[in-house]
Amino acid sequence: MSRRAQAEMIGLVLIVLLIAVGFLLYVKFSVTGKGGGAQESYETTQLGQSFVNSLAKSTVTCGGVGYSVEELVRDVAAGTTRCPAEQTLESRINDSLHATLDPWGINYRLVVVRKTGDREETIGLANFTNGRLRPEQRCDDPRGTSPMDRAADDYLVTGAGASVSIRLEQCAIANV
Amino acid sequence: MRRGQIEFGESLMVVIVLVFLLIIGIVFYFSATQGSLRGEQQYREEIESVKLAKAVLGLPEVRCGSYDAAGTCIDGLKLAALSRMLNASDKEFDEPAWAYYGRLFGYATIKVNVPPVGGPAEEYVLYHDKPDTETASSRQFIFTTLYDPVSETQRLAYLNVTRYTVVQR
Repeated sequence: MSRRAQAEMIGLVLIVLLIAVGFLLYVKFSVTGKGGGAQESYETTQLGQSFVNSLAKSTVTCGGVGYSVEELVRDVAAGTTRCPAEQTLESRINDSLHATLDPWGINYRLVVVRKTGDREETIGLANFTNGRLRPEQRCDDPRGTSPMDRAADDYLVTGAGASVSIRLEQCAIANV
Repeated sequence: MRRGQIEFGESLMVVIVLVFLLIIGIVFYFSATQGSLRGEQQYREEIESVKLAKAVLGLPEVRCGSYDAAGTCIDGLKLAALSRMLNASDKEFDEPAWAYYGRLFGYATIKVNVPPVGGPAEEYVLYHDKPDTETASSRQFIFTTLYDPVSETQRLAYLNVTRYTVVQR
Protein backbone atom coordinates (compact mmCIF):
# COMPACT_ATOMS: atom_id res chain seq x y z
CA MET A 1 0.00 0.00 0.00
CA SER A 2 1.38 3.39 -0.94
CA ARG A 3 1.87 6.23 1.53
CA ARG A 4 -0.93 8.17 -0.15
CA ALA A 5 -3.38 5.30 0.24
CA GLN A 6 -2.42 5.06 3.92
CA ALA A 7 -3.08 8.75 4.45
CA GLU A 8 -6.48 8.46 2.75
CA MET A 9 -7.40 5.55 4.95
CA ILE A 10 -6.47 7.43 8.11
CA GLY A 11 -8.48 10.44 6.91
CA LEU A 12 -11.49 8.24 6.26
CA VAL A 13 -11.25 6.68 9.69
CA LEU A 14 -11.04 10.12 11.29
CA ILE A 15 -14.13 11.30 9.42
CA VAL A 16 -16.11 8.23 10.50
CA LEU A 17 -14.90 8.77 14.04
CA LEU A 18 -15.95 12.43 14.09
CA ILE A 19 -19.38 11.61 12.68
CA ALA A 20 -19.86 8.87 15.30
CA VAL A 21 -18.84 11.20 18.15
CA GLY A 22 -21.06 13.99 16.82
CA PHE A 23 -24.02 11.65 16.55
CA LEU A 24 -23.53 10.34 20.08
CA LEU A 25 -23.26 13.87 21.48
CA TYR A 26 -26.42 14.89 19.62
CA VAL A 27 -28.35 11.91 21.00
CA LYS A 28 -27.02 12.54 24.51
CA PHE A 29 -28.10 16.17 24.58
CA SER A 30 -31.45 15.51 22.96
CA VAL A 31 -32.20 12.82 25.59
CA THR A 32 -31.02 14.70 28.69
CA GLY A 33 -32.27 18.12 27.59
CA LYS A 34 -35.95 17.17 27.62
CA GLY A 35 -36.17 15.95 31.21
CA GLY A 36 -38.91 17.13 33.52
CA GLY A 37 -41.62 17.88 30.95
CA ALA A 38 -44.29 15.79 32.61
CA GLN A 39 -43.21 16.98 36.04
CA GLU A 40 -43.38 20.65 35.11
CA SER A 41 -46.77 20.17 33.54
CA TYR A 42 -48.07 18.36 36.63
CA GLU A 43 -46.76 21.04 39.02
CA THR A 44 -48.00 23.83 36.79
CA THR A 45 -51.50 22.40 36.63
CA GLN A 46 -52.00 21.65 40.32
CA LEU A 47 -50.61 25.06 41.31
CA GLY A 48 -52.65 26.97 38.73
CA GLN A 49 -55.90 25.14 39.39
CA SER A 50 -55.58 25.51 43.15
CA PHE A 51 -54.80 29.22 42.68
CA VAL A 52 -57.90 30.05 40.63
CA ASN A 53 -60.14 27.92 42.89
CA SER A 54 -58.86 29.61 46.06
CA LEU A 55 -58.90 33.09 44.56
CA ALA A 56 -62.54 32.63 43.53
CA LYS A 57 -63.54 31.52 47.04
CA SER A 58 -61.62 34.22 48.92
CA THR A 59 -63.59 37.02 50.56
CA VAL A 60 -63.22 40.64 49.51
CA THR A 61 -64.91 43.70 50.99
CA CYS A 62 -66.81 45.80 48.46
CA GLY A 63 -68.97 48.74 49.51
CA GLY A 64 -68.58 47.72 53.16
CA VAL A 65 -69.92 44.20 52.57
CA GLY A 66 -67.96 40.96 52.23
CA TYR A 67 -68.36 39.06 48.96
CA SER A 68 -66.46 36.21 47.39
CA VAL A 69 -64.35 37.05 44.33
CA GLU A 70 -66.63 34.68 42.41
CA GLU A 71 -69.72 36.74 43.31
CA LEU A 72 -68.08 39.97 42.15
CA VAL A 73 -66.93 38.38 38.88
CA ARG A 74 -70.51 37.24 38.34
CA ASP A 75 -71.67 40.85 38.90
CA VAL A 76 -69.12 42.24 36.45
CA ALA A 77 -70.11 39.64 33.84
CA ALA A 78 -73.80 40.43 34.30
CA GLY A 79 -73.20 44.19 34.37
CA THR A 80 -74.92 44.66 37.75
CA THR A 81 -73.47 47.26 40.12
CA ARG A 82 -74.13 46.78 43.82
CA CYS A 83 -70.63 48.09 44.62
CA PRO A 84 -67.52 49.21 42.65
CA ALA A 85 -66.86 45.57 41.74
CA GLU A 86 -64.36 46.11 38.92
CA GLN A 87 -61.96 48.29 40.93
CA THR A 88 -62.24 46.05 43.97
CA LEU A 89 -61.59 42.93 41.94
CA GLU A 90 -58.63 44.43 40.07
CA SER A 91 -57.05 45.55 43.29
CA ARG A 92 -57.62 42.16 44.99
CA ILE A 93 -56.38 40.10 42.05
CA ASN A 94 -53.30 42.30 41.65
CA ASP A 95 -52.48 42.04 45.37
CA SER A 96 -52.92 38.26 45.32
CA LEU A 97 -50.65 37.84 42.30
CA HIS A 98 -48.00 40.25 43.58
CA ALA A 99 -47.82 38.39 46.89
CA THR A 100 -47.48 34.88 45.44
CA LEU A 101 -46.84 34.10 41.77
CA ASP A 102 -44.74 37.23 41.10
CA PRO A 103 -42.03 36.56 43.71
CA TRP A 104 -42.02 32.88 42.73
CA GLY A 105 -40.92 33.82 39.20
CA ILE A 106 -43.92 32.38 37.39
CA ASN A 107 -44.88 33.77 33.99
CA TYR A 108 -48.63 34.03 33.97
CA ARG A 109 -51.60 35.73 32.39
CA LEU A 110 -54.86 35.89 34.34
CA VAL A 111 -58.05 36.76 32.51
CA VAL A 112 -61.79 36.53 33.00
CA VAL A 113 -63.30 35.07 29.85
CA ARG A 114 -66.81 34.56 28.55
CA LYS A 115 -67.33 31.69 26.11
CA THR A 116 -70.17 31.92 23.62
CA GLY A 117 -70.20 28.93 21.28
CA ASP A 118 -66.66 28.66 19.91
CA ARG A 119 -65.90 32.32 20.57
CA GLU A 120 -64.08 33.54 23.66
CA GLU A 121 -63.81 37.14 24.81
CA THR A 122 -62.25 38.72 27.86
CA ILE A 123 -64.69 40.74 29.91
CA GLY A 124 -64.56 43.83 32.05
CA LEU A 125 -61.31 43.39 33.89
CA ALA A 126 -57.81 44.02 32.65
CA ASN A 127 -55.47 41.19 31.75
CA PHE A 128 -53.12 40.53 34.63
CA THR A 129 -49.54 39.53 33.82
CA ASN A 130 -46.31 39.42 35.77
CA GLY A 131 -44.68 42.17 33.72
CA ARG A 132 -42.47 39.87 31.68
CA LEU A 133 -45.43 39.15 29.42
CA ARG A 134 -47.36 41.85 27.65
CA PRO A 135 -51.12 41.61 28.33
CA GLU A 136 -51.88 40.31 24.85
CA GLN A 137 -48.86 38.02 24.68
CA ARG A 138 -48.96 34.22 24.86
CA CYS A 139 -46.18 31.98 26.11
CA ASP A 140 -44.98 30.30 22.95
CA ASP A 141 -45.23 33.20 20.57
CA PRO A 142 -43.67 36.62 21.23
CA ARG A 143 -46.01 38.19 18.65
CA GLY A 144 -49.03 37.12 20.68
CA THR A 145 -50.87 35.23 17.97
CA SER A 146 -50.48 31.64 19.14
CA PRO A 147 -53.01 30.15 21.54
CA MET A 148 -50.49 27.54 22.74
CA ASP A 149 -49.72 28.25 26.36
CA ARG A 150 -48.13 25.51 28.38
CA ALA A 151 -50.98 25.29 30.87
CA ALA A 152 -54.33 26.98 31.34
CA ASP A 153 -56.53 26.41 34.37
CA ASP A 154 -60.11 27.60 34.59
CA TYR A 155 -62.49 28.23 37.43
CA LEU A 156 -66.04 28.17 36.11
CA VAL A 157 -68.11 30.94 37.70
CA THR A 158 -71.50 29.50 38.58
CA GLY A 159 -74.76 31.32 37.91
CA ALA A 160 -73.24 33.79 35.46
CA GLY A 161 -75.57 32.89 32.59
CA ALA A 162 -73.07 32.25 29.80
CA SER A 163 -69.93 30.25 30.47
CA VAL A 164 -67.73 32.68 32.42
CA SER A 165 -64.45 31.56 33.91
CA ILE A 166 -61.40 32.89 35.70
CA ARG A 167 -58.42 31.58 33.75
CA LEU A 168 -54.77 31.40 34.70
CA GLU A 169 -52.32 30.69 31.91
CA GLN A 170 -48.77 29.80 32.83
CA CYS A 171 -45.62 29.57 30.79
CA ALA A 172 -43.09 28.12 33.18
CA ILE A 173 -42.28 27.65 36.83
CA ALA A 174 -38.92 28.83 38.05
CA ASN A 175 -37.38 27.37 41.18
CA VAL A 176 -38.63 29.10 44.28
CA MET B 1 8.26 -0.27 5.17
CA ARG B 2 7.47 -3.96 4.80
CA ARG B 3 3.99 -5.14 3.91
CA GLY B 4 3.64 -7.07 7.18
CA GLN B 5 4.38 -3.92 9.17
CA ILE B 6 1.74 -1.98 7.23
CA GLU B 7 -0.92 -4.65 7.84
CA PHE B 8 -0.03 -4.73 11.51
CA GLY B 9 -0.39 -0.95 11.68
CA GLU B 10 -3.81 -1.13 10.00
CA SER B 11 -5.07 -3.80 12.39
CA LEU B 12 -3.78 -1.83 15.35
CA MET B 13 -5.55 1.29 14.14
CA VAL B 14 -8.83 -0.59 13.64
CA VAL B 15 -8.60 -2.02 17.16
CA ILE B 16 -7.83 1.44 18.62
CA VAL B 17 -10.81 2.97 16.80
CA LEU B 18 -13.14 0.19 17.93
CA VAL B 19 -11.99 0.46 21.55
CA PHE B 20 -12.43 4.24 21.40
CA LEU B 21 -15.97 3.92 20.05
CA LEU B 22 -16.77 1.27 22.64
CA ILE B 23 -15.58 3.51 25.48
CA ILE B 24 -17.62 6.45 24.18
CA GLY B 25 -20.66 4.17 23.86
CA ILE B 26 -20.31 2.89 27.42
CA VAL B 27 -19.84 6.40 28.84
CA PHE B 28 -22.82 7.66 26.89
CA TYR B 29 -25.03 4.74 27.92
CA PHE B 30 -24.27 5.05 31.62
CA SER B 31 -24.57 8.83 31.75
CA ALA B 32 -27.89 8.72 29.89
CA THR B 33 -29.20 5.96 32.17
CA GLN B 34 -28.03 7.81 35.27
CA GLY B 35 -29.59 11.07 34.06
CA SER B 36 -32.95 9.49 33.36
CA LEU B 37 -32.91 7.63 36.69
CA ARG B 38 -32.19 10.88 38.53
CA GLY B 39 -35.01 12.62 36.67
CA GLU B 40 -37.39 9.76 37.43
CA GLN B 41 -36.44 9.83 41.11
CA GLN B 42 -36.95 13.60 41.31
CA TYR B 43 -40.32 13.25 39.60
CA ARG B 44 -41.41 10.63 42.14
CA GLU B 45 -40.24 12.88 44.99
CA GLU B 46 -42.36 15.72 43.62
CA ILE B 47 -45.38 13.43 43.30
CA GLU B 48 -44.92 12.29 46.90
CA SER B 49 -44.78 15.93 48.03
CA VAL B 50 -48.00 16.72 46.19
CA LYS B 51 -49.65 13.64 47.72
CA LEU B 52 -48.53 14.79 51.15
CA ALA B 53 -49.93 18.28 50.55
CA LYS B 54 -53.26 16.82 49.39
CA ALA B 55 -53.31 14.52 52.43
CA VAL B 56 -52.89 17.54 54.72
CA LEU B 57 -55.73 19.37 52.97
CA GLY B 58 -57.93 16.30 53.47
CA LEU B 59 -57.26 15.95 57.19
CA PRO B 60 -60.51 16.31 59.19
CA GLU B 61 -58.36 17.95 61.91
CA VAL B 62 -57.90 21.06 59.74
CA ARG B 63 -60.48 20.81 56.97
CA CYS B 64 -63.44 23.20 56.99
CA GLY B 65 -66.54 21.62 58.41
CA SER B 66 -68.98 24.39 57.62
CA TYR B 67 -71.39 23.99 54.73
CA ASP B 68 -70.86 27.68 53.94
CA ALA B 69 -67.18 27.11 53.35
CA ALA B 70 -67.37 23.87 51.42
CA GLY B 71 -64.36 23.02 49.31
CA THR B 72 -60.70 22.58 50.06
CA CYS B 73 -60.37 25.24 52.71
CA ILE B 74 -58.59 25.11 56.04
CA ASP B 75 -60.35 26.09 59.24
CA GLY B 76 -58.21 28.72 60.98
CA LEU B 77 -59.19 27.69 64.50
CA LYS B 78 -58.57 23.98 63.87
CA LEU B 79 -55.24 24.78 62.24
CA ALA B 80 -54.10 26.89 65.18
CA ALA B 81 -55.07 24.14 67.64
CA LEU B 82 -53.29 21.35 65.75
CA SER B 83 -50.23 23.51 65.17
CA ARG B 84 -50.06 24.30 68.90
CA MET B 85 -50.32 20.64 69.78
CA LEU B 86 -47.70 19.41 67.34
CA ASN B 87 -45.25 22.18 68.23
CA ALA B 88 -45.62 21.94 72.00
CA SER B 89 -42.24 22.12 73.72
CA ASP B 90 -43.19 19.23 76.00
CA LYS B 91 -43.28 16.42 73.43
CA GLU B 92 -43.62 13.82 76.20
CA PHE B 93 -47.14 15.02 76.80
CA ASP B 94 -48.14 14.61 73.16
CA GLU B 95 -46.09 11.50 72.43
CA PRO B 96 -48.95 9.39 70.98
CA ALA B 97 -50.10 12.27 68.77
CA TRP B 98 -46.53 13.00 67.69
CA ALA B 99 -46.00 9.33 66.82
CA TYR B 100 -49.21 9.26 64.80
CA TYR B 101 -48.44 12.40 62.78
CA GLY B 102 -44.80 11.36 62.44
CA ARG B 103 -45.96 8.15 60.75
CA LEU B 104 -48.42 10.09 58.60
CA PHE B 105 -46.13 12.91 57.41
CA GLY B 106 -42.64 11.39 57.72
CA TYR B 107 -39.67 13.73 57.38
CA ALA B 108 -41.27 17.00 56.30
CA THR B 109 -41.95 20.63 57.09
CA ILE B 110 -45.56 21.65 56.58
CA LYS B 111 -46.52 25.30 56.78
CA VAL B 112 -49.63 27.27 55.94
CA ASN B 113 -48.79 30.75 54.66
CA VAL B 114 -51.31 33.54 54.36
CA PRO B 115 -49.99 36.30 52.04
CA PRO B 116 -50.63 39.94 52.99
CA VAL B 117 -53.80 40.24 50.93
CA GLY B 118 -56.82 41.75 52.69
CA GLY B 119 -55.01 41.48 56.03
CA PRO B 120 -51.57 40.91 57.54
CA ALA B 121 -49.27 38.07 56.47
CA GLU B 122 -49.48 34.99 58.67
CA GLU B 123 -47.53 31.76 58.89
CA TYR B 124 -48.50 28.58 60.74
CA VAL B 125 -45.89 25.85 61.14
CA LEU B 126 -48.05 22.78 61.32
CA TYR B 127 -45.34 20.14 61.45
CA HIS B 128 -41.54 20.04 61.32
CA ASP B 129 -39.33 16.98 61.42
CA LYS B 130 -36.02 17.13 59.57
CA PRO B 131 -33.53 14.27 59.84
CA ASP B 132 -30.08 15.07 61.24
CA THR B 133 -28.33 13.26 58.42
CA GLU B 134 -27.76 14.62 54.93
CA THR B 135 -31.03 15.05 53.06
CA ALA B 136 -32.46 15.89 49.68
CA SER B 137 -35.63 17.95 49.74
CA SER B 138 -38.48 18.78 47.40
CA ARG B 139 -40.94 21.60 47.94
CA GLN B 140 -44.52 22.02 46.78
CA PHE B 141 -47.06 24.80 46.98
CA ILE B 142 -50.80 24.24 46.83
CA PHE B 143 -53.23 27.11 47.20
CA THR B 144 -56.18 26.93 49.52
CA THR B 145 -58.21 29.33 51.62
CA LEU B 146 -58.04 29.93 55.35
CA TYR B 147 -61.54 30.10 56.75
CA ASP B 148 -62.31 32.22 59.81
CA PRO B 149 -65.44 30.67 61.35
CA VAL B 150 -66.01 33.75 63.53
CA SER B 151 -66.17 36.35 60.75
CA GLU B 152 -67.14 33.70 58.17
CA THR B 153 -64.57 34.98 55.70
CA GLN B 154 -61.97 33.17 53.63
CA ARG B 155 -58.45 34.40 52.92
CA LEU B 156 -56.17 33.21 50.14
CA ALA B 157 -53.48 30.95 51.61
CA TYR B 158 -51.05 28.32 50.42
CA LEU B 159 -49.73 25.10 51.80
CA ASN B 160 -45.94 25.05 51.77
CA VAL B 161 -44.75 21.44 51.98
CA THR B 162 -41.07 20.45 52.06
CA ARG B 163 -40.39 16.72 52.07
CA TYR B 164 -36.97 15.37 53.11
CA THR B 165 -35.35 12.20 51.87
CA VAL B 166 -32.28 10.78 53.58
CA VAL B 167 -29.45 10.60 51.07
CA GLN B 168 -27.95 7.10 50.83
CA ARG B 169 -24.15 7.10 50.63
